[in-house]
Amino acid sequence: MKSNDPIIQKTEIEGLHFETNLYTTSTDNGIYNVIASSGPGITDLVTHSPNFYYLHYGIHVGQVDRLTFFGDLNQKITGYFVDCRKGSPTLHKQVVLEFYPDPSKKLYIDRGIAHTFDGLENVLTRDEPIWYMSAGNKDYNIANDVINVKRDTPLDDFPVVTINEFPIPRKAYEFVLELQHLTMVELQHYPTRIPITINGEKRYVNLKPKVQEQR
Amino acid sequence: MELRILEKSDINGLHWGKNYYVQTGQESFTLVANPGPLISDMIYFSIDSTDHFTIQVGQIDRFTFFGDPEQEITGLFVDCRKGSPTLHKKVELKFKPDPRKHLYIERGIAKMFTNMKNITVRSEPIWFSTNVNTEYNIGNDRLIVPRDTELENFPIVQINELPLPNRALQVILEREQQILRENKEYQQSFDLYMGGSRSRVTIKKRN
Repeated sequence: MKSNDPIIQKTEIEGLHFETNLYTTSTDNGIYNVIASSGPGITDLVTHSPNFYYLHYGIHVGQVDRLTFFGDLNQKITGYFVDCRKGSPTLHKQVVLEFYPDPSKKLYIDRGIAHTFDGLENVLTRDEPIWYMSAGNKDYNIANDVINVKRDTPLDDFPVVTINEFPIPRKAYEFVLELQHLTMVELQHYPTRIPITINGEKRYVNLKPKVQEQR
Repeated sequence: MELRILEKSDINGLHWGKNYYVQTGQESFTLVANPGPLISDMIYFSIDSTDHFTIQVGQIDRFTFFGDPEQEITGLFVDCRKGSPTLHKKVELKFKPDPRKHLYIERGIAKMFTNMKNITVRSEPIWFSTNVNTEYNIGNDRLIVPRDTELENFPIVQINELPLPNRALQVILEREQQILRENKEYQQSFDLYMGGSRSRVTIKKRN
């Protein structure tokens, strides 16, 4: 399964770059028709309200994000990235990227690179994730593969994570999607998962807003 | 495949269906693919409209519209299905972008949209093949009708009857990806009457 389209812009963190999308345009270039990228072919869409703001960085241990940004072509987006991969030559290096919605390209963010954004108000993001598994990776939680880090955290205090290494077959994506169809509820609060240290050992805690129990 | 119809129209096969989504905050949504072949194309409009209707005989469209929640879009539809009780009926729908629902458009219904500037559409097609339909070209299922065409002059089309298995759609997608990596162009078709008989003409952009 080929999973990479041509790279059109690299950054100082390996595994963080823009790739070309596969698209056609109408004869006057007024309409972009963007088809699925190479890879597993799963597409998730995320809308952002007019007052949307990220409070945290997010780190995926088992997921590559491939993000295409759709919206006003003149709206500036700023992305902040910190390399948190154990053994990386650029561990805890920060990169800041400024860019604009553009149907012709997607941002590739490898596992273990913390990321957050400003300027996503009213922007639609298409994510075409690629998932990886591992055996016995304590940094990975299959039920919640986002580690949250507060935005004002000093670079040295960002976590160091081991990323998953084995790509999964397409059939596994289809199975997960079927589960999502069964379990999706209309209003959902995603838990916040943060790394903590207890007796010198790294652990993760999941924080969820309290919901009043029905009696 | 489960149908989750929210709102019908005066043309059978043209309706709003419910998406699979979660609301993650006020006016922010995360959507996963609807059941089906799991093909999602994205269409972004930097112009207001096309100047023509489009008919596809082998494809059901499922369109989700994203953009300014106050931007009113107009959809125009003409039933062109051979044998349909509403043949050549025209329906106009006015609506605003809403991630929670998709517009379901059956094969053989001509469609056109206006006021689309800065709108993004998720298209989740369902494809059909045929054993009998000689009008169908799997490489180009896009029949163009000029927007000022009189209703009685819209074509009458035979729609495809055989749903394609998901594996076939994956093969077609891989072929599309290969074509686009090699920078080739899609084609367009239209009907041309010459000497009283109809011919389907396929055109493509010159290199």
